Amino acid sequence: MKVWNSAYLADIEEQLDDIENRLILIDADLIIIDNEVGQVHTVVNAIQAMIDSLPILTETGGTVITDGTEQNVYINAAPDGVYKPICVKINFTAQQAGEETIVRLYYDNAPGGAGLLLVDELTFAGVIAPAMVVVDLDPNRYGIAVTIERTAGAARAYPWDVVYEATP
Amino acid sequence: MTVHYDDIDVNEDILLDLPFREGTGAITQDVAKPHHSVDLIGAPTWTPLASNLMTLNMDGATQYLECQGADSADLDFTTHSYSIWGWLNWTVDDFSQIVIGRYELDQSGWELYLTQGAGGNYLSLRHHHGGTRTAAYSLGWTPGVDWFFGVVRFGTGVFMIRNGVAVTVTTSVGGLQNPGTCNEDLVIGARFTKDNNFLKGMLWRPRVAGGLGLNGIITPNRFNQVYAREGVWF
Repeated sequence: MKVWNSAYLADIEEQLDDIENRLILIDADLIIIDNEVGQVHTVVNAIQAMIDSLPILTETGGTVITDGTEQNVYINAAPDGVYKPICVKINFTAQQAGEETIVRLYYDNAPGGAGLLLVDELTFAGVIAPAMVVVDLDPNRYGIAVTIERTAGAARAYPWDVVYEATP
Repeated sequence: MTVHYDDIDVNEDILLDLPFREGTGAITQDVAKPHHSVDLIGAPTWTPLASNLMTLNMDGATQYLECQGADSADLDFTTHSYSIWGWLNWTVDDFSQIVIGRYELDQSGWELYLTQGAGGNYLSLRHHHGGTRTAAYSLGWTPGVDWFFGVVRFGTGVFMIRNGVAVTVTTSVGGLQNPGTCNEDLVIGARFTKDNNFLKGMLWRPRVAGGLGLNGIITPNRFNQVYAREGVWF
């Protein structure tokens, strides 16, 4: 059996009061921290939204075998928004003397408008040197196409590629 | 500031990526490095979403996409790890609809397909080998909903992601076996014979990554990042 001095209880009560006061201060700190974490989340979300909207430099390509009609080399007839096509490169190595092709560039510049309209065209006759033809492109929102048409000679393969910046 | 396509971590081992940007015509271009030439058969409908994102809609009857076997040999997965992901919204018509595959039934290759049965709506990955097949499936692929799907094969195991969240996968006893070497065409939205199991509904940006060992595996976290980035368009 222990004998307690009531003076000890007073000391303990004082210490409990002190702990309670400290807990109140900790609670207040937690509210501040919680608020700051919320602000960090807001900033992170804003950064994420910004990153998600960054354009992605993308490339694709293929080979067009000319058939005597006007054929699409590269087309994006309905972009999902403003994007930045940079250039189309067409390899004319296969074209022979006496053969002729026309490369055309089209843009659309209005919603529900007239569609793809001719902007420029160039005729390539005979052996092309240097063999790689580069078509520079402009930023665009409503549509773009680069085409090729064989007007003389045999069917030939024209490898091509395009580079553009777009999301997603 | 620009992000370079090949530097995005999810694109490290990418072999096929069809963002359907053309919006017209009968050819769609692969923006992954191999430049697979993919033809649209039966004139699937170019269909922009409300966000203006261009998708392809297939009628479940005659329309599908294909890439010749000789041009898609890099998608002949046997011991490889590989991942398939993209967006779809299907309508039940044919009870079994192929999303994407490069296979010959019970002989070779792999296929990803949707089915509706008494137990629910399934997305299944199936391997064909030696006169039989093994498979893995998940449930909950309700028709009429835009779903982000991600499917990963690693060894005998499979995991699947739906809208950024891992779903329960049930696998054949013994797990998925290695598919036989396949020379068939890549088909998107149709059976390997191209006369049945047509996909009915929307498809956007089917992608395939593959490799040996850990290459070709897209982690759930990376799938989640893709879902977060692309989900705003749907």
